[in-house]
Amino acid sequence: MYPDLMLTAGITCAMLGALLSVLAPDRVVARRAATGALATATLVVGVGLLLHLPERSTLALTPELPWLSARVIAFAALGSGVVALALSPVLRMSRYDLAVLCVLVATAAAVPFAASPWLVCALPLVGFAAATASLAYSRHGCEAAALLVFLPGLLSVLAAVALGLDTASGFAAGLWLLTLVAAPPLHAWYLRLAQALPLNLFAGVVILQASVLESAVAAVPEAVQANVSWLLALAALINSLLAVSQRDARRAAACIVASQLAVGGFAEFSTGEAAVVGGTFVLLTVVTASTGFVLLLGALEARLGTALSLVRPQGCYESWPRLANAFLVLGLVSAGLPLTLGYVASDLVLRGAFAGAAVPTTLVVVSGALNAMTMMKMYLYLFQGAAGRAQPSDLRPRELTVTFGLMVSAFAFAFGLLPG
Amino acid sequence: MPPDLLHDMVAHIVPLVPALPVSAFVAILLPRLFGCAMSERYTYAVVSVGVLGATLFVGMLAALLLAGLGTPSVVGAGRWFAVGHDVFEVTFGLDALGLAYGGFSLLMVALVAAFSRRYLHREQGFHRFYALLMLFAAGLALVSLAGSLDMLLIGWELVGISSTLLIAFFNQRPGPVRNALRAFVTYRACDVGLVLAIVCLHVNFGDADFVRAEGAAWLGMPQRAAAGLALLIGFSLVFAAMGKSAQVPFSGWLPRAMEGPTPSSAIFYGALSVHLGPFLLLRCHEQVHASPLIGGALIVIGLATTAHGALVGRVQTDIKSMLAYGSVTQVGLIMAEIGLGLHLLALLHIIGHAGYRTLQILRAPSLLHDRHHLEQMLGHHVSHAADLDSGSNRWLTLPRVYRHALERGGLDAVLTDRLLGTLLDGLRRLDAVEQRWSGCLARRLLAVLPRGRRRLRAEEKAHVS
Repeated sequence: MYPDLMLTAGITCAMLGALLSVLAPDRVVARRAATGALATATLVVGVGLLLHLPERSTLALTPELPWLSARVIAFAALGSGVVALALSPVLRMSRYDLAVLCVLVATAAAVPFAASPWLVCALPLVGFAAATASLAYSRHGCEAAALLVFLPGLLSVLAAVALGLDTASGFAAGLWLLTLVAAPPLHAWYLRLAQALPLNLFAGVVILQASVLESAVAAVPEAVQANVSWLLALAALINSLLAVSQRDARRAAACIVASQLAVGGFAEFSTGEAAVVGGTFVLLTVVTASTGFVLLLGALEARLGTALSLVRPQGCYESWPRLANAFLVLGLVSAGLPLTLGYVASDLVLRGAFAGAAVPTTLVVVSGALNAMTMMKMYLYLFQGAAGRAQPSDLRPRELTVTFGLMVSAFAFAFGLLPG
Repeated sequence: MPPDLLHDMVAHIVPLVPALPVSAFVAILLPRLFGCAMSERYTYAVVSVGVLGATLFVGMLAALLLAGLGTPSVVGAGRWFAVGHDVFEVTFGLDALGLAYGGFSLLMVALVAAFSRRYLHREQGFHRFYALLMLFAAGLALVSLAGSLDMLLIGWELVGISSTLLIAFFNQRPGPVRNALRAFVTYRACDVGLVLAIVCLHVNFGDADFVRAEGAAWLGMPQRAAAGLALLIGFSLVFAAMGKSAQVPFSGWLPRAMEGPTPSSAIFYGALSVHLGPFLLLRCHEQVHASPLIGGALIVIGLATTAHGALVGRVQTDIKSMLAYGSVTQVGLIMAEIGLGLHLLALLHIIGHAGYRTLQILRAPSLLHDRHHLEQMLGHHVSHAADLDSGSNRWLTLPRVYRHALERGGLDAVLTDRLLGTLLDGLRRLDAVEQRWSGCLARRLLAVLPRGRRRLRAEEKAHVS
């Protein structure tokens, strides 16, 4: 009971953060207030989790698994929300953007506890509506993108309504899920979103997506789960292929994250015990490491003030060694570097899913390799090169602290905190 | 000494071998992450402790094995994670092959670390170089002493990442950065083979552990698979080895990788990293010989690589490329030896070639100086032994052969321009189509809103003007 109470308190704190940032007199105060509220929320949920962890510490496929994984995802979502706020550039994020970020994170923390499949489908609508409002309000010329972004939200409602109808439920839920993870050709909204939103807000959307996927199995009827699983594996491969071919860093990052989300979804629908647990780890990796590298990409973009291109090496490692190293570590964790959370995740997924679905699992292996290639390309082309020494500053202490915390938590999840 | 006590002692010592270089890596990087500029002396001291400590422990383990106090065995060091029946056991294998390769590797790392202290003195990336060297040492220790393919994969990946980052060491020039990416792409593409082999073994037999077969000289992977599966696993392993060891058609990355600092080129592409492919196949020799098809393919690949390396190496105009193709030639021969079942010869060839090639590459920057010194001593000009019109090289003057060699067999053109280039072009077209239709849809949606219509009109006006 106490963990549930603490969770409710945490989500309330996050929503309070949204309110405080809107009411704050300026952007700096808004950011401080929102960060403080989300940090409190993370602490409260974390303490609630730790109090009950000793008796439920293994992530085996037991009746305890949904309990533990939902709380861990909620905790990670709130924690990553704090990092997203702390790394947000004051000049580019309005008070309303900060509030939207808080709403996205609070929704992400709440979705795993949705009492019915209907709610699992309907809750993301809140998040997407918030993102749409943010686009339409503050970014001139992005109304169209905002309407595109509203598409998955609309599908959410349709899926939720269709769940009550036997004939349409499978199709609607499958379509909703494939749109949500931006499976090609339903990925246009996602890439537009990645290009139009500040990357901190985009990270909030990624957190929400991962959180919804954690509970998606409950929303998709059993009859179509195998087909959806196949399509998700295919989506993972196509997205990673698209990522390799991108020349714009934002689009490449969005394709990588979409590919990883599809792998997480594929694992969640798998029949193997290890794969289901691995799916939770994949989503945890997305919430921590992938969100982290997206945020650092935003930090780099804010420093340079231009769009980041992947056409040729144009970075300056000597000017931003900390930023570069943090990006590399989080990128490699996200791509499955050995001894990290990403490695545990991919290892479990492959071992668990191959027996039941050899071909889709092979597609997932190839997509993992392609994602790692794109990640390394982003690191090499954005942080190495002949940009000259007179570059803007490296990570500041505040940014370094939260980034380091994210890195430590990614390693802590991989070593001892969760694996049985 | 009681066997249980001995086993416990060994079980405590083995994990320290990779742990010491990893600790050195962290000790170099962590202060720098928080803005503390440590001196070169500090970094060198940390590296010395890490490498020499690890070498000492490998020496102790080898001495125990040689003294007959232990037999080749797999030692467990705990469990990383477990879900149901899927368990990741941290195991180390102690046998002649692992200890010989591991000991030799650490010794070479120590020598290169000592050499680099002066060679890279006051170089901007001094600390970065040593940090990556330690990551490489940890990877090598894990590969050599792995008790299962899972453990070997961890070391394999660490070696790949450190290699990539060291190729991009001189990061202010675009060339090394592009070459690093090329090497990484080759590594990752071929690693798919290793990952698939491991997954197949786990799914079908429950583990990918090394064991000592009856009468075998060292630990290996027992051959338990039926014919079809054995072929799949065998070819997957050969594919993984081809990428790491720059076998045809993946040999193009190796000469380009020489853009890194000379000490790292020597130890990675002359000595240790490039030999990991043969090492993997020596470990999994039963899978290689599970079917004559796999062994035959390995011989063909090895000999083709040897011929390619020997031909292309002769027309290179810089010493490091020439030496890189020399490495390719020798590693091709080693592959063919493994395909023929000459395992001990292959191991001796690896160690002999690694030592000799490292010396050559380390001396490469002083080549001109050495030549002038020799000529001064002799008192006359020394003719170039590799002139195209002399002796054995005369056939290279045939235009077709020469052009083929100069174009590196056309392999790069086929792989990068035709295969990869075509794929990327296709994907970019697909992406452009997506952008076009989503843009069109967005404009139609925009036209629904009054504010959107105003915006569209303004855009049209701006376009006309």
